Amino acid sequence: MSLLELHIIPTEETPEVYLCPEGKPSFIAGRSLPENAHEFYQPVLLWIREHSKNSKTSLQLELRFDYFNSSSGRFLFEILSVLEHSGNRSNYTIIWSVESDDDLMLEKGEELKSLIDLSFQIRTV
Amino acid sequence: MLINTVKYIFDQTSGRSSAFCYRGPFIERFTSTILDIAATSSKEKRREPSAQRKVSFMLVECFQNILKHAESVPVERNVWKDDGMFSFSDSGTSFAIDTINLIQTQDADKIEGLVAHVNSLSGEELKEFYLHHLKTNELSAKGGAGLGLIELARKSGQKIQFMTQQLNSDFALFQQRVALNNANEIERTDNDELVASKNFYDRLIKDDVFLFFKGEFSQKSLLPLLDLVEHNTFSKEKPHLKRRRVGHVLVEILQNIAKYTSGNEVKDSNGIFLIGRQDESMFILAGNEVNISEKLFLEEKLEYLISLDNKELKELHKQAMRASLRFENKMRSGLGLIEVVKASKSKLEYEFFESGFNKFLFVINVKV
Repeated sequence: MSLLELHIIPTEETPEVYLCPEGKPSFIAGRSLPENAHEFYQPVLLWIREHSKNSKTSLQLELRFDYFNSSSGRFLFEILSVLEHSGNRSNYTIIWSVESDDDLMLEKGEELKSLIDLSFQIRTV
Repeated sequence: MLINTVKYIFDQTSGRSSAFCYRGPFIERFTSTILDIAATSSKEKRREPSAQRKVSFMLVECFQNILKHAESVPVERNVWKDDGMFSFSDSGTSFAIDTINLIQTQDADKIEGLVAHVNSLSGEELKEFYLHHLKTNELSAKGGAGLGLIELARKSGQKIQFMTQQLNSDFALFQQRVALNNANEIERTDNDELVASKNFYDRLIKDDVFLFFKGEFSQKSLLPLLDLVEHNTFSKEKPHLKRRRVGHVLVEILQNIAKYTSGNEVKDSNGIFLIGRQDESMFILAGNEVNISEKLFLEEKLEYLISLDNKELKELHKQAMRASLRFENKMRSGLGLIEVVKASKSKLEYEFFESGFNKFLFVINVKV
């Protein structure tokens, strides 16, 4: 079964998610404060696992957050870990977009970058 | 010590299932935010829908009354530097709204006269008075003709309590309290509650606390509170980024730390928090009740975290992140407390106050 694109509409407490299997730039953006981050990130993780197992297409994933809570941070790390441990990790590029002067999100990006071995660029916008 | 302020407010608000106080600046968009906070601050919904609608109406009228009628704080004259206060408290049987704002001395007699007149009228007379004002359209310079006040009296069904305090020849503070009580609650006619509210306000000014909340720490109450923090203009320097840091810590406190109750299970809990300024920093003080085993657990964990330097904390955070992937319980990654200690600009302070049998008020003070 081929992988379909995944689009989750943002809410006051969850980010917008757009994941495209055909190489269009994908992103997770907004604020991520769900109390149950496990529930919110399950479809995202399933999609990422599927892509990392079966897809030959490269994926550029932009992560752009105003805020995220610690449990969302844990699931972002899990998403990146899945990509890191896939057989084709060179297919993946992570763009961490951060507003200039937003030292909190910059710090969060640097933390995640230090935890994984993936192409991980931090860009100020 | 600031941490004692939480204990003071905790004691002052005992018997209230929820309480909220905001010390300006007042902006239009907060009208709906405050309605959301009132609607989500208490799990106990004992009020009838018609009474709840009255509460919402009164909240809007009182808040907009400040927006429309309060005098701006005079910049050139060193009379008074505060925007005022908007607060509410809910005991389940009684809902009270307290406001304090600046007025011009020349208007004080007129306002006091109007409130006293409104208080002297019966329900039927109030209705006539309202219709008369509506017809004659006697608008004041700032809009409104005391119509809001008349409507407040009609909805509340109680006397409006008020007090003015002369500041100098030009300005005065006007304080007002409107309440909606259950039929069996006796109406207060003394000024004790006004005095208590003014003392409370003075304490908030002294400690420069501009936001206080007591109630249910739930996801529903978190969002409007965050909105208030995000859109406030309390910090002059890189304001939105400072606000974001405060919001970040607040989220972790409300979602994690305040939930160290009943065997560390994640559940909705009641708590209290304050946000204020000290020197160039903002502080967040939060408190909730824990039992002895939770106290011991928190003490041990906090003592350890506080003993670490920044580098060690970062390393621990990394380890906790890696470890979190291995655990089945994905609801509790244990990262929240580390995040808060990391975010604290100076050494995090905490305290436990005995609050009952096997109960302690756990308070932390985080500077950002």
